[in-house]
Amino acid sequence: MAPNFEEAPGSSKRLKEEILYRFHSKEGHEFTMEKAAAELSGVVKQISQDLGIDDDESIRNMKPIPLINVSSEAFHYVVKWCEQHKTMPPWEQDKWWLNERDEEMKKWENEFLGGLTSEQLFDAANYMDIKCLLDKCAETVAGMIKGKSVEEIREIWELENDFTPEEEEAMK
Amino acid sequence: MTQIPPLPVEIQHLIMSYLPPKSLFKTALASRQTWELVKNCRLKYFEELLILRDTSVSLVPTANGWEIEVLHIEAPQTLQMLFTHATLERLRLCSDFYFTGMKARNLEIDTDHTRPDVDLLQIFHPIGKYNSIRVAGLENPSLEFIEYINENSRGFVVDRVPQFQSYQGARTEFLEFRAHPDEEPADRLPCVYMRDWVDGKRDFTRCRFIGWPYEIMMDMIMLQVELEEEAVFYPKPRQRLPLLRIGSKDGECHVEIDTLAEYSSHRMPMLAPNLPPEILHQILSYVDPKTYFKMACTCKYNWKAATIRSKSWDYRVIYRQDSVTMVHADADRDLPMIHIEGTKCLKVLFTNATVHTIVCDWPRLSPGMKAKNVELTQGFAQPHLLLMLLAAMKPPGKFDSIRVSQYEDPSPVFIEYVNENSKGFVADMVVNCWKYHEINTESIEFRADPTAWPTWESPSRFIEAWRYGDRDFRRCRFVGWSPAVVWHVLSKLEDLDARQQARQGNGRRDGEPGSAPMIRAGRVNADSVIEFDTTKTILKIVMEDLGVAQASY
Repeated sequence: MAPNFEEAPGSSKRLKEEILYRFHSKEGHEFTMEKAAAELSGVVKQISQDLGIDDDESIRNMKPIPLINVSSEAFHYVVKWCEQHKTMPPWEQDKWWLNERDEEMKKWENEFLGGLTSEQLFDAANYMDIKCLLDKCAETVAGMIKGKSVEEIREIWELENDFTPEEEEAMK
Repeated sequence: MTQIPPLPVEIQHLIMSYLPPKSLFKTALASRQTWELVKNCRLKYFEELLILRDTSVSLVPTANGWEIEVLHIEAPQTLQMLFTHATLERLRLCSDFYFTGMKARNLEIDTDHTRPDVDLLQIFHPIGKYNSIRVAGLENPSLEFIEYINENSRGFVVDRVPQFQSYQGARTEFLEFRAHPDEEPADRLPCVYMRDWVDGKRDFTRCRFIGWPYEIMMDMIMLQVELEEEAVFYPKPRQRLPLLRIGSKDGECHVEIDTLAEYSSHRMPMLAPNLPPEILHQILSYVDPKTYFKMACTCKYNWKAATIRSKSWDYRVIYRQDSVTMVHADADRDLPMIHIEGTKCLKVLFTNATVHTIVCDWPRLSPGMKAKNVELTQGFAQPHLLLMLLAAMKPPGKFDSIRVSQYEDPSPVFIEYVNENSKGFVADMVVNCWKYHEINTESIEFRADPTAWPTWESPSRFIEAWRYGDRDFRRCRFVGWSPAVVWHVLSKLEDLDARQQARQGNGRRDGEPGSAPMIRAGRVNADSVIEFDTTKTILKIVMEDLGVAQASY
């Protein structure tokens, strides 16, 4: 069953006291996301910076950010992810050893991504520049390849074997 | 997620960064496109240790520390594809060969093959700082080299150096100085570092000195006592004194200054010098050998008390030509081996000690050292020396067992000594068993040389001797005899009707312990075994692996 976006955690019916960013999905649905959660997105940060928005009042008065490449379904999951990670230390792209998460969080992440069938989440994470989600998606996809044979990898990636037999021999 | 969506190249690189080496290799083999993807990926990361030698490339799992080659790739272009632009968790350079764009978070340089300089460190510099740089055997490094490490690495390990004066400028967060195994350093570097830290001239998180002489450790203790008295005067933020751990790390003299740990709660136990000996001895009876040595190192009083005290170690002590190792006698305990270096450590652990087993060709026995079991790993040309050695090791009463290996020519006095002073005897790797026919201990075991097939005489002789009352062993085993001999002995026993003989001979009834020897014939660890067991009932004759499941008289 498709999620009910009107009552979802990111819907616009949330409490007025919260500092919320507003977004428009590809389909035109309006969503909100709490400030700390939304600022996990590099795009949100960049837009705020470009528009000179540096206080809570400005965020409240800000127009919804259009996310023309993010579907409502994908955004629903993005909100869930960001709410869960909003208190985490900033994601260190180049210092992966600093991004260690505790066991409870790892379990939550695995369950969250394991249950998803939408590839749009990967695209959404990339488009919104949410590094922790992007990384976790990459790890999940890598997990699909781990331990597979060359033939199986070709199947997963829909690749054709374009090596000559001589080349294949030389590579082993 | 069940399917991989078409993705931008940078995201594909990100995915590659999560693949282990084998999967990465297989992905590259899928097509030209994936080959190029892996080759050019700058996010490749290997959590294994990569060892680059002139003749080989090994990728070793770092979790267990064992050197197992997990990748056997000979094709140079494949190696190039995998390791170009890769970041290694740990890289050990044993040659001057490397791949373009390689980075390492932890770099180890063996200076037997290359003299490291700043240029070399720059080549492998990862994003951010190195986690650690380790150099082995590098004497007199340049100031520029040390300065580069101070600025670009969190940790610095110096190994196998006899003199450390030229390393005084090292100022990384973590430091480790490991002395050359053949030479105890004479400099007072530990004292210099500690004093400098207290004076605010240095700031490290942890600093280790391994292999320093005992005397310097004692000086450090005195220095700490001195510092402790002044502790209240230290201004903030230096109210806490550095933790000083002193003791043996895997058998090496070890000083560790730790500025992070709580001073009071984690300190090494330093027992008060006026503690009554009986209380001190009681405390010492609860600790393992490593802690025992550490406690002994805390002060001279404790050292003396720990040395003279009688103790018992449930360990096998293995003496080799250049090392002594302790392994727990209970293999299921899965405790790490303890490697002992230094005569002081041997003295404090083994003086007046009784150990489970001594394994040796010729041990360096500490005064008063005894063993419940002895395993001699070579024969002895001079029997009187062997007897002297055994007499020195014998605990009160008898040995539990004496085991010899490749000892083909035992003297009659040796046999006599074994019969009188040991409950058990094992002869391993023997060819001519007849020389041991006079052995008369409670348990007897002969293990044949795996390259030889000994004859039927010995098993027959022992069982007949038992039958006629010349022997009273509890168990007698022959391991490594051929199946044909096993059959021969069994058929001979059948003819003799051992059960009847037993009834007449010792008056015991069938089924009672000792009524007649149990005979097991079979294979243990692929060796043929004949076993006469007088504590079991004869009705359970088992012939494993010989095509007969069970037989009875």
